[in-house]
Amino acid sequence: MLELTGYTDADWANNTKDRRSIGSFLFLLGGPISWQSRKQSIIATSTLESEYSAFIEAVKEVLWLRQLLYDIKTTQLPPASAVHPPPSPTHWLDHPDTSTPGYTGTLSAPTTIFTDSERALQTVKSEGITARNKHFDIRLFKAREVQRAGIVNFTFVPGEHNAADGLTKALVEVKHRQFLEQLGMRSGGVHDR
Amino acid sequence: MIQTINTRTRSIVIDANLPVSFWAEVVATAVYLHRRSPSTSLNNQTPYAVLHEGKEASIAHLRRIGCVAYHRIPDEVFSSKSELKFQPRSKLCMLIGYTPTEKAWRLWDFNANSGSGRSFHSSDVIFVEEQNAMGQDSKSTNSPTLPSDFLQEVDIAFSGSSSPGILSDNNIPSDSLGSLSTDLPNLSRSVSLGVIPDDNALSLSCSQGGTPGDTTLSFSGSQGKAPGDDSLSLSRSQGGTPGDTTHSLSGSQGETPGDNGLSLSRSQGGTPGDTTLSLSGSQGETPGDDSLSLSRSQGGTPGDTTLSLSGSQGKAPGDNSLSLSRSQGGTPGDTTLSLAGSQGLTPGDNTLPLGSSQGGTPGDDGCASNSCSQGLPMAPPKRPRPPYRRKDTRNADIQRRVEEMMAEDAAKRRLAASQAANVFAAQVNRWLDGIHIDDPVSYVEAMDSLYQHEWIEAMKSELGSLIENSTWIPVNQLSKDTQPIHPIGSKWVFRTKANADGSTRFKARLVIKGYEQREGVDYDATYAPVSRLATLRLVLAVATAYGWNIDHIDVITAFLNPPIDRDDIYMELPAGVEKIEPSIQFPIVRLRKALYGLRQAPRLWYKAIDSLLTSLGFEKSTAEPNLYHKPSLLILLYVDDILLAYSDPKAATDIKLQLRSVYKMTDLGKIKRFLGMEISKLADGSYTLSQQSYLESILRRFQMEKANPVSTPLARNTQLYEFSNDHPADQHLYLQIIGALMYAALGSRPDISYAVSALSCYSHNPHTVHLTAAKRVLRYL
Repeated sequence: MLELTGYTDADWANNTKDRRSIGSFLFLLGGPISWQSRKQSIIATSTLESEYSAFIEAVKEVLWLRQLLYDIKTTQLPPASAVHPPPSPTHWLDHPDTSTPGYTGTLSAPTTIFTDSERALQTVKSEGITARNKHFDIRLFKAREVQRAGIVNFTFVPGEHNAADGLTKALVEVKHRQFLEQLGMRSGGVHDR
Repeated sequence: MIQTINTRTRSIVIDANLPVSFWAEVVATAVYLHRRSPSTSLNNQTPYAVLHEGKEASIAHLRRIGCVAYHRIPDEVFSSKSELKFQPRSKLCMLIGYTPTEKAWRLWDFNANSGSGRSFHSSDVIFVEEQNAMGQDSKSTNSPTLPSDFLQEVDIAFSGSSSPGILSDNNIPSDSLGSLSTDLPNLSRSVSLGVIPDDNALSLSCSQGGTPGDTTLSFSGSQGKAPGDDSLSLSRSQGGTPGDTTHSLSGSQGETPGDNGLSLSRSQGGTPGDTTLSLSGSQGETPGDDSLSLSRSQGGTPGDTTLSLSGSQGKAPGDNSLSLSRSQGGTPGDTTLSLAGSQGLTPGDNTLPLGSSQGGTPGDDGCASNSCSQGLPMAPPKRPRPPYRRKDTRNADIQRRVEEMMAEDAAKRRLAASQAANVFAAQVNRWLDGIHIDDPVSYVEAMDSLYQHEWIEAMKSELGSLIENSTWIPVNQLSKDTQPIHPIGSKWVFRTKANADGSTRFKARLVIKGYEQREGVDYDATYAPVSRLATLRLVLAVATAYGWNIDHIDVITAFLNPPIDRDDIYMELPAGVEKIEPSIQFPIVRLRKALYGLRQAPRLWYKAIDSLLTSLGFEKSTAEPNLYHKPSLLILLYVDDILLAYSDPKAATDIKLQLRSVYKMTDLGKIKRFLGMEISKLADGSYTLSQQSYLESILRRFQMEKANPVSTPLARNTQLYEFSNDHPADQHLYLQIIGALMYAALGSRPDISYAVSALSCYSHNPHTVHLTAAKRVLRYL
């Protein structure tokens, strides 16, 4: 079944010149459909903060992707059963759509976004503000909002299985091959011919 | 020949204190070194260069055979992280040779094979050259050190040698051997001069960092002594001229302090005197520069050498410039090529100020080898360099006689090879351009060209279709009482296109000079949404999931279709138009429809297609203004390309018919190519996206198609941001590469995404390390 999953990763302050972190996300829908590897605009003061920045980039992307899928789906798919009324034309964010459970799971369920930062996960799933994250404001609240609204489910994945890992750092050959596998990229580089 | 190899082998075995059982490895090494050693009978070229049409092999990786080598154990060997943490990370081995086919060293692992030892390849090695792996301290085997008073003598001779002439002088005391320390402010190293006893040759060998001065010495029969650390020496092989030290010399001399740059010249075809003169001339052009001019001319006239030298020196701005020139064919073009070629094997790449000329030279053969040698984890520079034993000089005589015969043969082969290469290069050029005729850039040029008739026909056809399309209303004359108009200029664009059958089509297109339009007067809004590539991939994913087909429709001359949104845009037709189309009487027209070049054309087109699709019952996606949907139909627009995804072929045919009733379109059938990406549907219904041909074209464009592939886009632990010691790279080239890679990273290659984004941070100020890394990405593709 077609399912949208995301991965995010951040590499905190690895650049000693300007101390900006690299944030990345990757979304798979049968294959890699959207990805980004970008130096973050903010200077993160902790790994947590840089992970959060990466979250937010991923959240922005997932909102767009889900909207796109929703648009397609409303006209593409017959309702799963006549019992459920067709989805209302209002914005799906306000009405999390559960009418077509047999569908991809893309919209009826939250989109899983994997991260390898346990602490970032804890923070997004908890309430309140601590000394460490008191300055995250918008990013923290946005991440919590989409988590609570059932749009995104931030989930832990060990670092070596995080497909976005290869978007934040240079990998050794073995890891890089793993990364290509996760991306579903077929061999046949230009040089192989 | 056999004796040459044997002598070399014997020297290495003795120097390295190796058991005789290593003879096979050492013979292989001796042959390897011989191939990279210049020979007088080959006009002081190396056999390698002769075989490779003047392209020199890198000798930067040569190390002292028998020395201690620490082979880095790859992380993957360790089964667990804890093991990785506490086990030794490298293995003590001995250097026994090189691998001719890979960028690696042959090492001897003493403990493998249950103690009997084993040879293997490794490219990740740290050498301790002053330490012999067989347990003998090689320092004790050094030739006797020189009396210190001699050093001063040489010092004088050396620092006085601002004129190259001194190098061919024989008045340096024979049997003098020396080393001296120069107090170079920025790099401390010593200089050593050696003169061969037959007082015919001066031997200077220079090495900086772990560079190969030693190799030169080991074969040339000369006796440069470089006992000190980081030694700089210049060497000249016996009976020959200092040419071969070209490579090694260059490494450090570029940083010679003071105004007296070092010039080293060698000429075989031309008169030495002339070359010397011209060299000093070119040196004089850069007074105050710490420059090195190094010239080697074979068969070329000295004048050529001068030209190329001063040219490259002039290019290198400011201080510490190195010019390395080697002319073989005699023409300046050749010089450029071989200049690039020899840069590739310049040792100590990291510190060599070659950036400007290296990057800027098109057809830079050196790129590949240069980046290769940099990509290799070379031992850090400024490694102590032990001295080498001198060889029996009589061998050189025999060697010379043998190789004279070889040289004749090689010369014939070289000629044949270069002819073949020329033919090939011409073919490639033609093929790359895909255009056999230079397209004229103006009407005047078209009318002057050989194909005047064809171009007239092409313009006629274009004007005919524009008139048929009622693109404009003729203005018969400018009446004085109406308000003044500002006609916008127009011009012809000529293109030849190759048909599938190999014939050539001539196309002329009339474009409006949109840049003459004034905002607010001639146009208001120009924004037209363009689809994200992610949308394309999402559509492909959805089509895969539902088993839909995707067809590709191309709208012919899309921009000529939409009616223009204002009625006061006038255009002046290009000169000569009335000769081509007699029905045009007055050159100013009022536009009714958009033309290519018009600022608002893309927007007008988008609005037109948008309203058409909406009228056909499509709903526009809220998230992507180029995505339209309808039950079991999806349309993705990309300017004038339309992708139609459908489950029911009949519905698709209906839509196509409806679209075609409004616009002229080409139905390209199942999607194959879109935005330069190849899209193919596999047997399991899934779509794959590839930019194979795009990537191949960028490899060709940067001449990297023959470069050695690598398995990862970016070497781990590449310190991209520590480049203060590095030299600036050609920014133009860098930006081109990054830009070309960026499209691949955005289109179908997330695997290079990180590398490209990391490298693009340095676009404003690229250095050699970045350019090298960017080329590595190209090698990875």
